[in-house]
Amino acid sequence: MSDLYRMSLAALVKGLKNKEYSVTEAVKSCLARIEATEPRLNACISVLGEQALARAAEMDAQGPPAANAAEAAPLWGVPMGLKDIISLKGCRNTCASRFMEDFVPFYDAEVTARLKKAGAVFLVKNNLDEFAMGSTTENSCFGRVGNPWDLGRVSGGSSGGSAASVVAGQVFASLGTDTGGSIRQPAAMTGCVGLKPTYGRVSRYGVVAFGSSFDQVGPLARNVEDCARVFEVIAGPDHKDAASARTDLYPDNLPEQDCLDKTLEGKGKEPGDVLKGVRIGVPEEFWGAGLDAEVEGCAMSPLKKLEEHGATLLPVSLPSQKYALAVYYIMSSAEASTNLARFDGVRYGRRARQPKDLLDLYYSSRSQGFGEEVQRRIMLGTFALSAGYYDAYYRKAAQIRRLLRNDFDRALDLASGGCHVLLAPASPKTAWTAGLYEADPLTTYKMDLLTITLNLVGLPGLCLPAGLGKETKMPVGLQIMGRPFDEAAMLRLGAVIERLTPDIGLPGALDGALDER
Amino acid sequence: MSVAKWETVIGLEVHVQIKTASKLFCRCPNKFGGEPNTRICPVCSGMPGALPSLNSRAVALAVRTGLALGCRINLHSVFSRKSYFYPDLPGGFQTSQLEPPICETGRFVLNTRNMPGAHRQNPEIRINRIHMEDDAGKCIHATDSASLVDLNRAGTPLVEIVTEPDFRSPAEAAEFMRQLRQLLLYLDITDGNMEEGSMRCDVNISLRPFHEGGGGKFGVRSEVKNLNSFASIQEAAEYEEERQRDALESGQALEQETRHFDPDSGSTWAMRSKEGAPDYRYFPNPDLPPVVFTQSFVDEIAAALPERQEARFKRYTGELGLHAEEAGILVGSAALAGYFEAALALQPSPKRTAGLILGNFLPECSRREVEPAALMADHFPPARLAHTVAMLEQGKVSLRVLQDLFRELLDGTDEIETLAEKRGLLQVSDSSALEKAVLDAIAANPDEAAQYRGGKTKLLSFFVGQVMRVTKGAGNPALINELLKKHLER
Amino acid sequence: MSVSKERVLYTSRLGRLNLTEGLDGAEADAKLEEFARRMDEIVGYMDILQEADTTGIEPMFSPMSLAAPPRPDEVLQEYGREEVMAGAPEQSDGFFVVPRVL
Repeated sequence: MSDLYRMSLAALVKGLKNKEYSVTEAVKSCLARIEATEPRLNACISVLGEQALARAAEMDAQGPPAANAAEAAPLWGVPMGLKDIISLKGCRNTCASRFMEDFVPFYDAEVTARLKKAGAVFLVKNNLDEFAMGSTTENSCFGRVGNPWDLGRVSGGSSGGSAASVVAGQVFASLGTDTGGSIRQPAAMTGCVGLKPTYGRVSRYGVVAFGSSFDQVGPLARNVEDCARVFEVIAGPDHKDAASARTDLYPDNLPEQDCLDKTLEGKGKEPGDVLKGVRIGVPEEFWGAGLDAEVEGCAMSPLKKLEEHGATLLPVSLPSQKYALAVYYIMSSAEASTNLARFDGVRYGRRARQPKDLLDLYYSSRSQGFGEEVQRRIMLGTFALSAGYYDAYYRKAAQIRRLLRNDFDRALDLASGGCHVLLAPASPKTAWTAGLYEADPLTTYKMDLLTITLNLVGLPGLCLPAGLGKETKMPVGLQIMGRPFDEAAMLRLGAVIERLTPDIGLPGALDGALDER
Repeated sequence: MSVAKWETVIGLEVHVQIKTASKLFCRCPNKFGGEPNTRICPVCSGMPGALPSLNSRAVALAVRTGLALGCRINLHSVFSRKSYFYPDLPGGFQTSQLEPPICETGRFVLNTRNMPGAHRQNPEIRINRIHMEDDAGKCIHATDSASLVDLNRAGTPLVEIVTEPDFRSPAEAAEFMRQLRQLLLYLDITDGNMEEGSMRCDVNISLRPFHEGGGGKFGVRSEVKNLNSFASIQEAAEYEEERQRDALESGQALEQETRHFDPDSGSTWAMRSKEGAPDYRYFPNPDLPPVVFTQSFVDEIAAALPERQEARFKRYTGELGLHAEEAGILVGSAALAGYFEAALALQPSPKRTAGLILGNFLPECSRREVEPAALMADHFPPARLAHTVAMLEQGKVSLRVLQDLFRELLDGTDEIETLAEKRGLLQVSDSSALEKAVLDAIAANPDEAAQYRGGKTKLLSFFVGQVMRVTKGAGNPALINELLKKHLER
Repeated sequence: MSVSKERVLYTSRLGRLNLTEGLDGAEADAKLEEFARRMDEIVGYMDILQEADTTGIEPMFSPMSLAAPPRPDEVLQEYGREEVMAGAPEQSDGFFVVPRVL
């Protein structure tokens, strides 16, 4: 039973319900895997071994819920991770920041509460870029996360810990947050499946805010079906998040509950049946200059397969894309600069020792507590909102954001022959060597070019492996961009792509150690 | 009297705490005071990951305020973040409305009836805007080295009413505040408790050379912050008037600045900021959708607005024949006036109804330290009030018996006549039963009877008292009078 | 648009950041120079925005849609003072304590 950790989440759930093995065994298998891979991978900030085993014992004593129970508990006994920016009551929530090293929330995030109710067992809090600001998970006060395929390379970010943890078999799924690609890009770089839901689909309550109009919580898992299973649990309206969408009001919405069914449909039916009449847009701005050849080649191969099986590929143009990076960094940093104002050393978190006065308390606590990248974003955002610059930067950016959304609405307007989804790579490069762009923030920002746009326009994105790059032998991710609240259709298509694409398997870089044991 | 050289120009920004059950963006109770930091939660204490959720009642009350002040109501308004650091501001920003606010361009006619010597009669004060925002917590400056922070008040819903610079004297500004408070109390928008900071005001004041008929360019203004009494508004404005006049007349340049008022010395002082003009970096709060509602929502609130206070007062003192004091108390609150009128719809005795409310009901509310609204709803709805009045009117119970049994009446479900009957206190209007008591009283007090017959008719009340005592207040006073006269004057 | 050292300092004061925390003299100066240079580069890149024609375009501050109406005015007290203040760096008699304001 020691290699339970290798199973899919779906298979694990089935086995647990049939009592083929116990929750305790599942948890122990993951804990052994964590012990074998940490701290080299460094994907975890907290490992909640004791609590998880205690919870597992309780669950085993009670036994799995009856199949017809009112509380369906679809994730009963599943060991899971949470990005360490998502509140879990009683467990420190560090945001990978020195400022928050000792902060223990007394409340659960809404997503955490929903997963608890569904029977998930939280095993780890995953490493991340400080306050989710970064694309490599190198900006963490707990050190950088290694890529399970090659520990010398980055895992992507900012949910790099969640992605690495899932791929390395430490947990069956983890939650990440995606403000500009922070779920999709690490999923691409580590070869797992990550979903950024439509803005408003998943509650943000209890998730430490970065860019409030961008942030979405979503699952990272080892296949599309597992991803859908977690998504169904966390999605849906929450009155504590005012931006949460009344999805029942959406005209052509498929409710959260249909996502798994659609995914299974994609898994089960002939690809040709699913793809009949499906129009897939190929946005030229996402496939043009700037892509490494191995990424372009690898990401394109599933598209060809889809066409062979009856889908229609259509060239699409999103002309405002060239402004996306600037719009993103202005608006997300502006929001972040005010979201991070609450970290002042008054009510919680780090307080500088013996401040001279109140101002000194603010300056010292914040400057000692925040890392360089966080300070840079606060500076950029504060600048963009300050007197005399608001109209030229912030307001102007918000206008272009509208133009971008108009581009997408046109491309995805089914009534006038638009596409069901758009497909694009999720990163211009495969995972690069750690430290490569350390001193060059602007170049690092430019690596986000392919993922930030969906956050600007609020649309959903599903990233899944397209294969391994020819040069680097590192995973390449393909991104499905969908219509608002149309996650179900994207997951279904994702399941088809998964079937048409050779499995990249699990990485070998970490396994030497395990065999030695 | 010399011709004034300077004209004072004042505008007010009034912050009003509004009467909701919960705070503006979270469900903590909206209540004054309490043990420090006992009414806080992740949202109003600015915990990481907490999110605001707007209180619909606050929106309705802001619209009600706007309608009462003749404003245009915006069907689409936006909350913004206003950023600054202060220990009583847990999020690092206040959530306020910049553009557009919920209400704009209203008017208020200032009644100068109570302002002897006013320069102007009933001037019209234009309202620039009304917006919603959350209150900060409180800093207490405890020692030389430390301040204490209590966040119970953080997140209390406020409406800020901003006037145009339409006041021409400190007295007008203070009187506006009084009348505004009356209006908002009447409409049950605020508890209006000045000592507890339910209404606070910033005074913007400047002087300009006086021209006949007014007008001309505004002078450099100062803003005196956070005044919470009528007297301090007037004193602070008067102090500023004098300070600015002295400066202008001695040729000093005035600076646009923020000042604080010290009520002990009656003077203001400038708060020097090292950082120059504040840069609040307003932008729309991405956590809150725009506040959007339909015209029919506004129309419903407008339809529920009560008759204007003054019209009601006139009707009560005229048509209904109430005393001015009685009418004044009843129209002090639309809820109370509504209560009175609801009971009046069920029986025809305005004076007795008013008497019961003012003489029995309100004193009992104060004794129990509860809001009249609560007691009205739970214990003494208009129908019971009307029924009790009818019992008095029909002579079933006497006022004195009502007085004695009123608490019991409120606490139970028995009506007054049932309570009186159980105690044998139903008013006796049967003349044969009373006649015996009357004859006994005369027989027992022969001296007084002789004096009465000798012309000292004031003694009648002595005999009434005697009979009342014997009947424990249950005798019908009119009948007792009649019977006493009959037998004494025989 | 170029970002001067003065602008950087002004901005850092608004954000209550001391960019040269723990440094002084020449080191602090160099750090600030470097920061201004990086920020100028980033802001310089942002100037691409000025090329876009946005005449008459309504700003989109958030992609929020289908938001629920405001919540009912109901009280819920879920947390005690001990919980909320458990992480306070300094407290006394139920108050948060800070260095004296003003």
